[in-house]
Amino acid sequence: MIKFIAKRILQLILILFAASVIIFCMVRITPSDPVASMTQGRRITPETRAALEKEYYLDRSLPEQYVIWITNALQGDLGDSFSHRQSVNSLIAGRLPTTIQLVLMSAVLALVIAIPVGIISAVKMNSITDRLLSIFTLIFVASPVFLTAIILMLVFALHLQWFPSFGSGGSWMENFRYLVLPSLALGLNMVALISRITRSNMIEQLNSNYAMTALAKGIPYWKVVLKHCLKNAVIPVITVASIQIGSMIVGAVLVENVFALGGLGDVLIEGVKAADYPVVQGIVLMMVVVFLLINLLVDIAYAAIDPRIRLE
Amino acid sequence: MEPKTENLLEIKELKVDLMTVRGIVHALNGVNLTIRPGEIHGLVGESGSGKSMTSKSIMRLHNEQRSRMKGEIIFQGEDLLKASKKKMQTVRGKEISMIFQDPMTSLNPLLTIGEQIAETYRQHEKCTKAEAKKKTYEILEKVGINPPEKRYGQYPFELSGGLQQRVMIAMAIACSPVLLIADEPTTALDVTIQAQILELLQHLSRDMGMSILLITHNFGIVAEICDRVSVMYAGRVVETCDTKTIFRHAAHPYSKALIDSIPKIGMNVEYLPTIPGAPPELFEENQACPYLPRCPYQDELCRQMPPEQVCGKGHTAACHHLRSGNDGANQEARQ
Amino acid sequence: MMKFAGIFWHKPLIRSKKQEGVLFTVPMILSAAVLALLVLCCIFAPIISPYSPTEQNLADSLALPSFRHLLGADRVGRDLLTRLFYGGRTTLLSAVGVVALSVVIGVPLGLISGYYGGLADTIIGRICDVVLSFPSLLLAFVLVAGFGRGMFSAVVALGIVYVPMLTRLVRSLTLVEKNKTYVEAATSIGYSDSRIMFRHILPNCVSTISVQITLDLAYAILDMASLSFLGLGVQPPTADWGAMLDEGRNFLLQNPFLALAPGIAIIITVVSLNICSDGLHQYFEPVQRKLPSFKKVEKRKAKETAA
Repeated sequence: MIKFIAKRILQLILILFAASVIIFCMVRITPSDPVASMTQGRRITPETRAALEKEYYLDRSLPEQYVIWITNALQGDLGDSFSHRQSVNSLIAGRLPTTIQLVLMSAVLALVIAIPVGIISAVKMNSITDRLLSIFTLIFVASPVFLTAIILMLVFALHLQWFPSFGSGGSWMENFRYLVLPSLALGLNMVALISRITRSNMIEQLNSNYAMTALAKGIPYWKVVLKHCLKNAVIPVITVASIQIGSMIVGAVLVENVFALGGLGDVLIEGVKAADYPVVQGIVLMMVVVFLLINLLVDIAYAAIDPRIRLE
Repeated sequence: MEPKTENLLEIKELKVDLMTVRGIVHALNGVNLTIRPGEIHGLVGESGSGKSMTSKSIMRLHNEQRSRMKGEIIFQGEDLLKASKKKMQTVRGKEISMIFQDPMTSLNPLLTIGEQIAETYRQHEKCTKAEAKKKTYEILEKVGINPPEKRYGQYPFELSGGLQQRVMIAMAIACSPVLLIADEPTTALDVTIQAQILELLQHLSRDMGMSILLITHNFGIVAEICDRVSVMYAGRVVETCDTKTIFRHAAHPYSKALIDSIPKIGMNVEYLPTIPGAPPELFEENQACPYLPRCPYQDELCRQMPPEQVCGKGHTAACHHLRSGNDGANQEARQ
Repeated sequence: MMKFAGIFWHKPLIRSKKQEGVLFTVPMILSAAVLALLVLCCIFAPIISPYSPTEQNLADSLALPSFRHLLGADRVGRDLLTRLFYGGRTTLLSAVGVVALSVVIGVPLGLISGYYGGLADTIIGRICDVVLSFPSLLLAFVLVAGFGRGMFSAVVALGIVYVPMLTRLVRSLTLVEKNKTYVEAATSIGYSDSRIMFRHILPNCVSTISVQITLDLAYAILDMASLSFLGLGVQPPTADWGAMLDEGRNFLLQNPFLALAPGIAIIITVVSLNICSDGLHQYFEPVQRKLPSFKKVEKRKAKETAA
């Protein structure tokens, strides 16, 4: 088990290294001028320009710049923003809590709805219930997150006025009310995917030989479903769900944008538009790290739940 | 005269239709089969002849939406096809239990073997967890899995195929059923392990007075442990008799051909005799004898479905030509 | 030599009519029809619509639906339905571009990776790992940051993002097909590797790939819309559905159709593509397919024998 984890961590580091190179290179080939982003388009003297370039190491060669960036990043310093006049670290620190809370609320919401929906439609395969559930989930899979967000906002915030339509609260608890609609929008999108995967896995398990054995032992059908098949069916679902949580981080960008939550997403998008290298590099790197860490945790959880991997 | 024994299980005119991607398949076409208490009954036939279908029907394990059953399956005086779902649950595992061909996939990979055996016991007997565990140890020992304390916590993938099949058997006999259906229990195993498993089954049958319906396509296995045997062809039982009779005096031309195609020691021929042709596809309801296209004795009469006829003591066969074609053999059988 | 082609193509795309459960089920026909209608509307937008998609008419600013403007008009008085059709052109074209790009790169990579194995497989596999270490849209953000904003770079970015999944799919299919007898037969005849890969293995994978491609199209539409919605994709004055949604959300109270109409257009298209993909999947993998009842089949049989 320890060997397994160690191996996975080593892999993760290698992948992360490659990813950081890609991030760095892609951000740097941008055709736009980073100095313009710092000065917001004002005209400057060549001397100021040179000074700015020196301050942000833009006068060095690309490999040098990469080494500087990655060494600092490894020490926890992501550099200073070009356009925000503060460090990327403090930018992230100020906005991360909202994003994390949003993603977690959405994930919990998605799983709580999706797994029962998937099981029910598998057990009632091809019935009316199954059809209705699949139409319901299909619509949410087809609706882009930001559209779901807009519709929820239109109905529950603007017309019914049950929830605030945008902004975020101060404390964690206060934020909860502001995040209900956003996390619903993000979560519903995932419900569809997760429940459909649960359904097809469950059907596969229900048709398996061991399910037949259990039935032949006289175990009631519902117990075969919940005790024997569920665990087997849920393992692959966890994998998919985790990758979905990864893309939820990105979905959060869209939802934050609609509800003006002031999370990480807004800064990232502004950064992309303004060629603010340190911000884009820093946030993307952080998201990739989180994404990979989640995948690692899932692998470990996977091993914990499946004895075949655990005991290898 | 042999004392008249009450039959344990009586299948009468069982018909099963299946809905498949390619249309309706008439998988079973009037199966008649009786199993006596304490006997080991072999059910032989080529693949697709309906052996497994018959065994699944007894347990009512077909997908209800995709299958349709007619006929009667009388078990201890009650028709299982008419029984409620609740009743079926108490029959399955307690009165009749079943083991399958591929033990690897037939065991739940995520539960320990102990849990899976104890589960059967706890489902049917009122007992505490500790009692079930104790009972499981006993059963494990009974099927030759030692030491039970260590094996209890192991997962199926940690065991060899032979041990896995023993676990399946342990699960099946946990509640001392009166009938065990073994669906090709040794097909997936090595030959040496096969012999051990068969021996175990025979031993258990004698010990517990349990009948076994042994499904196989291997006449060697039949010869070794079966008391009586039924031969299936194209969704029908074409012949039933005791094991000795089938090898010496098979009455149905199909059984005869099957027996003839078994290689025997000392046989000195260039080619093994084979049965020309292939079994029919079962998409249409057959009015004629299903063996008609391959049968050397066919004539006009064979365009009608042959009824089951008695041709000796405890010997029935479904063929029009029992008397004309195989006279000598039947004379002997009746003596 | 051409004669042999039939032997190797042993999993035909169109199956014999004898099967119960068919490709053209009611939902499949409906969704295909909706898609066809949509594509036609987009192609013939200039003929159908009397309005120009760009010409402003401030008198109609934010007009609600009426006979003059069936879905209303936007802030500068452009007819919404007209813009919807023109926007559809951009959306559908870019989605097709994304998928085409990923197929052109991903399928050969998958074939090579699965067929040759070894070093090629390792290298391709590692590259895929790295690409997959980004959540999909995030990589698109980074790539768009690199290529500069705009429709073309968004298409290229998404196309690259979609490659690894397809590569892995094709690789696993190739691994299965590689060991089948018909490949051995082709090898023993002395066909070249590329001929075996593209003429023999690939056709046998087409069914599964087609399911994936249909689904990828749906995802491409969603992801393109997301990029445009954030202002990273299509740039004004052209607008795809995502950009239109972005514009419309500022007028939710005045005229909600400005946001809802392109949104519903996206939903309808993506739902139809999903249904098509599902239908194909069930057709190729009959296990989960719904079969007709006994009564239905018997009735039909009785009719056939009577006729």
